[in-house]
Amino acid sequence: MTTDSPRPALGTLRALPGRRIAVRAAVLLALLVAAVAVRETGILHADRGGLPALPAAAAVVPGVYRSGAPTEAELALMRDTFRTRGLVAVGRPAADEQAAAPALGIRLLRIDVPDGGAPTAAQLGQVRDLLREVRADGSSVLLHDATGTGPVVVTAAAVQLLDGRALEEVTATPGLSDADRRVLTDIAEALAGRAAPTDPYSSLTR
Amino acid sequence: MTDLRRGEYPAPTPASAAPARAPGRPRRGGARPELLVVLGGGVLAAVALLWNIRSSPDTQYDEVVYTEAARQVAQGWNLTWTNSPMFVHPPLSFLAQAGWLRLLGMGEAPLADAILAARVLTAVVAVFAILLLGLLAAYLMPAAGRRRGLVLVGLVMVVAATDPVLLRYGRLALIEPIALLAGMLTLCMAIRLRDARPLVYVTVVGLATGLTLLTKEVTTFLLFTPVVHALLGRDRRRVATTAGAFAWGVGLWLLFPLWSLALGQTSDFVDVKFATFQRLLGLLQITGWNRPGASFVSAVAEQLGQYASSYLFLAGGALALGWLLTRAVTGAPRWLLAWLLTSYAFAAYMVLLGTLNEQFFVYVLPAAIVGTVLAADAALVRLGGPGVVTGLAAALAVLTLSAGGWVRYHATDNDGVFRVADLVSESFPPCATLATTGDPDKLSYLLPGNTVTMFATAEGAEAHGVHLFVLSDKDIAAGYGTATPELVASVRGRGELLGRFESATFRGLEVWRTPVDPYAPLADTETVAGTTFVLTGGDRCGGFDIAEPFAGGWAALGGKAVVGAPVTGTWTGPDLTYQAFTGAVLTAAADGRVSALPVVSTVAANEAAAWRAAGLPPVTAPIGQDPSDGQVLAALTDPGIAAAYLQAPPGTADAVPAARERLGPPVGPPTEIDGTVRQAFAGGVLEHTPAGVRLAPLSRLLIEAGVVRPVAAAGTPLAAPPLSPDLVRPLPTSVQPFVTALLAGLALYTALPVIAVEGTRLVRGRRPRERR
Repeated sequence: MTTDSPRPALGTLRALPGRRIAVRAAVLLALLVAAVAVRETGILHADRGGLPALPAAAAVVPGVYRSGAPTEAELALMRDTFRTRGLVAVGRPAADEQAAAPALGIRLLRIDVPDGGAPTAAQLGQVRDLLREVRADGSSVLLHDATGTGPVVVTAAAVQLLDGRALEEVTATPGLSDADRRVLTDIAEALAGRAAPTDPYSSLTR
Repeated sequence: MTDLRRGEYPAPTPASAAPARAPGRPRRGGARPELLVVLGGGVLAAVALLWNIRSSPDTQYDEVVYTEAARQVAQGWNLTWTNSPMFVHPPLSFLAQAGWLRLLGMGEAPLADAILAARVLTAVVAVFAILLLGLLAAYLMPAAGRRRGLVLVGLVMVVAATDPVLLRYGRLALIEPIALLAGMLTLCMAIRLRDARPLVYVTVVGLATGLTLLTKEVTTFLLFTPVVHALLGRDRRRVATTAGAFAWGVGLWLLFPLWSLALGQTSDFVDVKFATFQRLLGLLQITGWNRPGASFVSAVAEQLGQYASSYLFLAGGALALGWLLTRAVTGAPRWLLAWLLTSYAFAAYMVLLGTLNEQFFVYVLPAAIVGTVLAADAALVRLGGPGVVTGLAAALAVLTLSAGGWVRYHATDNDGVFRVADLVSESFPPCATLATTGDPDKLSYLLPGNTVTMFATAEGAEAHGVHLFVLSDKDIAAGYGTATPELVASVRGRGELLGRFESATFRGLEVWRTPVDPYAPLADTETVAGTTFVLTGGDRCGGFDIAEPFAGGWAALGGKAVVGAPVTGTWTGPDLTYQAFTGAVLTAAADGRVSALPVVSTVAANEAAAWRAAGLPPVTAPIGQDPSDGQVLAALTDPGIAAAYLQAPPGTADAVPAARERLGPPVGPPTEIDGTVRQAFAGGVLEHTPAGVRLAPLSRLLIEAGVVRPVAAAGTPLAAPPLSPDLVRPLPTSVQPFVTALLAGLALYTALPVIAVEGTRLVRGRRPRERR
C-alpha cells in the first residue's frame, strides 16, 4: 500500500477501445442468451414422454393414464402436475389411498376385478361415467392396480375402446392375454351394436 | 501493496511513490493500525458469528446430517449418517469436525450438543475466512494509500462480518465456512506466489487446491481463478503453471475415489458422483430453487427482508465486473476481474441451469463484496469530495441494514427445530412417530428412536396410525416435503396444538396432534402378511392384530367402523377364545364361529351406575330371556339400527337368525340419550350417530367391571410394524483408509517436488547445494 493518493485503490484503469468492449458485451450476451434458451427449452431435463413417474406408467387415451398403485404422496403429485381428479382402483385400494384421495379432491372409484379377469359391463359403465365427468374440465384420470401389469391393462384397453380406438390397435397392447383379447372383442362388438345376446357386454353402447 | 506492485502492476504515481508497507507490517516506533484493523475485524466477526449461536439460526437438514456424520467418525471412524458411506461430499470437513468433537470430548454427546460444538468450530473458521478476505482485499488495492487502504480493508471485513448470507452459513455447522477458508487460502497463495518458480507454485498452490477440493468440490470455480487470471493475461506459461497446479490438486482429490475403491464401493461412488455431476449440469434437480415447482424469483423476493444487503453487494459485484470488463486490466485489477468472472459465471450458471442452493452464494459474496468496495472506491475518487460523503452515507446505510438483520435474525431465538425435538422427547415415548411438512431427517437424528416421516395428507398419515404432526408454512410454500396445503388445513382444523416455536428459518414450527377415532375405518391400520394390525394410542407405538377367526367375525359385524379397534389381543378361556374390541368382546368357538359375548344384561344389572354414567340405554329384558324372531323384529323400531343389526332392510325376517348369531337379540328398546339413539343387544349396544350406526364403547366398561378378564399378555399392545422397513444393507463406511491415504498423499505431495529438484540436479551432474 502506498501513502494516501487521489487514485482509486485498485489503480487507474484505462478504458478499452469501444470495439473491444462491444465484443466482450456481445460474448457475454450470447452466453446469457444461450443459457436462457437452454433453460427455457428444457433440453437438459429428462423427457419421460409426458408420463407420470409411477410404476408401469402408460398413457391410455388423452387425459387417462394407467400404472401400478401410487403412494399418497404420488397421488398429490399427480393432482398437482397432471391435474388428476379421478382415480380408478382396479382391485382393493390401500387404506391410505382411500383416505388421501378425497382429502386431495380426487374421486375414487373402486372396481373389483380379479387377477386374470376383466371388468364387467357395469364396472365399465361406472368407469366411463367417471372419465366423462372428470375429463370435462380438462382434468385427468389414473387407472391402477397393484402392479400396473395386472387387470388394469385390460381395463385400460377397454377404456381405449370406449374412447373410439380401433380393436386392432387396442389388442396390440403388450401384456394382454388371449382371454383379454376375447373380452375386448366382445366389448368392441357391443360398442358397434353387433353384440350377440350372450355377449356379457351387450348392454354397453358408445 | 508492495508485493503486488512488482512486475506487471502499474507503476506508482508520484503521490504514491513513498515506501510501501503491507497492512500487517509494523511501522517502526509507531502505533500498529494494521494490527488494530485485523484485531477489530476479527473481534467484530467473532461477535457477529458466535453471539447467541446456540439459538440461531435454526438448524436444518444439512447441518443435522453432517454433524451426525462427523459424530459417527468421532465415535468409530464411520463416515456416514445412513447405512452407506458418505460420497456426496469429500471427507475433509467431516474429519475436521470429528477431530474437533474428539478434542472437546463430545464424540458421544447428544446430537444437539454436538451441533452446537460443531457450530463453534465453523464460526471460528468463518472468522478466519473473513480475515483472509481482508488480506485478499489488501492484495487487490495496490494504489491505495496506507490509511485509505486500511479503511477499505476494514470496510470489507465489516461488510463480510455482517453480511446476512455469510453470517447465516457461517453460524451453521456446514461445509461452507471450511471450504470458503480453504478456497480463500488457496487464492491468497496463488496471488502471493504468482511470481514464484513453477515448481514452487504448483507444489504449494496444487496442494492447497487439492485440500480445498477434498473439502468441497463446488469450490472448483474459485480454484480456477488463477487460470482465468493467466488466460486474461494471455500468458501461456502462466496458464500452463496455474493449470498444472489445478491438475496437481485434482490429483490429490483422487484420494476420494480411491477411498471408495478401498471400501469396495466404487460403483456407488460413481453413481453418487454421476448424480452430483447431473445436478451440477442441471440435468437432475432435487434440491434448490431450480426444482420443478420452486421459483428462484419468488424465493429471492421472499428473502428480501433477510438478505437485502447481500443482494446489494451481489448487484454491486456485478456492476464492478461490468465496469472491469470495459477496462484494460493488469496486475491487481486483473486478479479482481478473474475472481469476479469465476464467481459470477458460477452464480449465473447455477441460477440459470444448475442446482441452485442458497448456500452457494457464500462462495460468490466475497468477490462481490471486494468488487463492490473497490469499484465504489474508484467511483468516489472520481466524484471527489462529495463522493466521500456519499460513500460514507451509503456504507453506513448498508451496514445499518445488515446490523438490523443480525439483531433481528441472530440476536433473537430462532431454534424451533431443537425446541420441537425437546417437546417431543419430553412428551412422547421414543417409539412415537411424527409426520413433518418438510424434510424429516433434520428431526429424526435429533430424536433417536422416534420415527419421523412425511405424508401428503393428514388422512394418509392417519391411515398409518400417525397423529403427531410438525407443521411449517414455509415447507408448504417452498415445497420442501411431500405435504400439501390440505394436510396443514386438516390438521389445524381437527387437531390440538401442543406447541408453537419461533423459527425465522421455517416461519415458525408447530406441533399438533389429531384425535384418534377407534371407529375411523381407514385410520390406524396396517396389513402385515395379510393380517390386519390396528394401531392404538395415537403415537404409533403399538396395537393389536386381528387374526382369524376374529378377523372374519369382526368384518361380518362391520369391521372397524362398527365394532371399533381392538383393545386387547386374544386370550383363551375354558371353552372359548376372546378378543375385546371397542364396542364388543368377541368370542370364537372351537368351530370358528364368532359372536359378541352376551354380557350386556349382566353388566347393566351389576354395574348400573357405571352403565348409566356411560350414557348407555336401558336393559329391560330379563337375563336369559330368548325372544322369538318376530319379537326381535318388533323390537327394532329405529330404522337405522334395524338395518345395521340385520344388515338388510328393516323388517327382513330372513336376516334375523344371522343377526342374532352375531350380536344376540335386543335386550332393551331404542332410547335417545344426549341426541343419540341407542339400543342394547345381548352382545353390545348399537348407537345411531350422524356418521352411521356402530357399537357404542363397551369393552373398557366390561373389563373395568371385571365382567371379562383378559390375561395380562392380552392387554399388552404389540409393537407396531415398521412404517417403512429399512431394507438397505449396511455397507462398510470406515474413513480410516482415506485418512491413511491422505497422510501418505500429503507426504508424497511434499516429497515429490524435493525429489524432482534433487533428481534433476543429479541428472544434470550438479552437486546438491550445501547447507550454509
